[in-house]
Amino acid sequence: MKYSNSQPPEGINYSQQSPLGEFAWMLGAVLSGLAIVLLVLHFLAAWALPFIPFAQEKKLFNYIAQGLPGALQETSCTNKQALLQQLANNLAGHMDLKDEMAIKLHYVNDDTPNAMATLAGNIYIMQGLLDELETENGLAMVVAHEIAHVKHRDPLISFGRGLVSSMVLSLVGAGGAQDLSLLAAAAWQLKFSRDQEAAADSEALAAVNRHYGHAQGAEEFFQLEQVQAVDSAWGDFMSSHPLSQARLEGILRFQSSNVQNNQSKTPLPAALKASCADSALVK
Amino acid sequence: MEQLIIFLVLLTLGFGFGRLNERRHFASIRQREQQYSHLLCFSFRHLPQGCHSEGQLVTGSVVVSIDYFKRIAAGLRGLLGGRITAYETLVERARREAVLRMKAEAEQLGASKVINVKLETASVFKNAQETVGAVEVVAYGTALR
Repeated sequence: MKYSNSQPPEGINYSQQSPLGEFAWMLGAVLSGLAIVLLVLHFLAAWALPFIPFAQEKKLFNYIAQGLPGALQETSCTNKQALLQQLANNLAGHMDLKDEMAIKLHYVNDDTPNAMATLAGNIYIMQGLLDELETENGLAMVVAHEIAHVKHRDPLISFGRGLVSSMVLSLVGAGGAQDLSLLAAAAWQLKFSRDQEAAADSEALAAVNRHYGHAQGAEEFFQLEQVQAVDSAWGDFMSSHPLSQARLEGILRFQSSNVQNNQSKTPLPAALKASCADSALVK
Repeated sequence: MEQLIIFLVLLTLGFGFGRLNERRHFASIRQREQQYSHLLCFSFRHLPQGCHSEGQLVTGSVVVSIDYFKRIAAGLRGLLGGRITAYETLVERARREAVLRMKAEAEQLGASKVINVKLETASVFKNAQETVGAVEVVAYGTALR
């Protein structure tokens, strides 16, 4: 019996092809699978999350709020906060909120012209917005818009969507772990879809119309240049025209079909314009 | 976005250096396999008939690391299933390199053949998360003059 060793054959135990093609195929398969899963969860969230009781949403927010910056947890100006809260209560009275849905207004001393709603009926109004607006009607539209988001459970849906997406992404190693500060950041940067914004606009218009007897001045904030703050960045990205233009037209349409006899606008209370120290003195 | 850029840079570096190393290593393996072709390796355990030489234990071992590209490719395979071709080249290189190192030792002893050749593998970073994996292959056998 004669033994010999031959050179090991090439290409049997391993592939000699470039791994790039295989890598691209695998990446495409995983990414499209992931996209389908995220899309299904996106729609599932809008259907399922409103079943969560509002009391549970409050508990969730109380936990998350510990991660918010101190300036957002306590108000810097109780006078302005009380005025804003009063306006919100008046508007909420016209909006058929469920009994357990309490709206809590927060005044934030920040130059950004912005307002936002987050979990558990918490609405934040920045000084920058008050500086820009001239009429209470314009402010009421913004506040009513945020209350409408709360009524539609939009913050919960948006927060849930973000949470579920990051969980799915972390399963495949593409997302980071969630800690309190990240959760708080997510709750502070909620993005709403175009449909959610449109629904909140029409709900808010109806409320402003009932509160003042007309909807004049509701367009004020949208006519200002700094509309991007309340617009969904995604919406702007997806549409060729700025989203605020479509929303402004919606408001103007509503106004022309609801013309009243007395359409005088209410000026913004001077206390909201004044610095915090003076706001108690100004009436 | 930052993370994506870092990821892509690591992926490109892993692919570029990984491919370069692999090509060079395979070329070196083929060249040395020619060089040691006179030294025969056998898997049987018993001395060939008529051979009365003393036996000597010879070993060769090698540790080869995966690169970032291979790690990601294997991770994707972990989701989809199928042949992890990225690892197959790695283990092939390690196996052949270990046998070559064993042969190098046998040659130093003046041997003409190695019998009872065995191969063992171990994962160096076994079960450790977030580390780059590496494979060790040990080849050993009995060298005969």
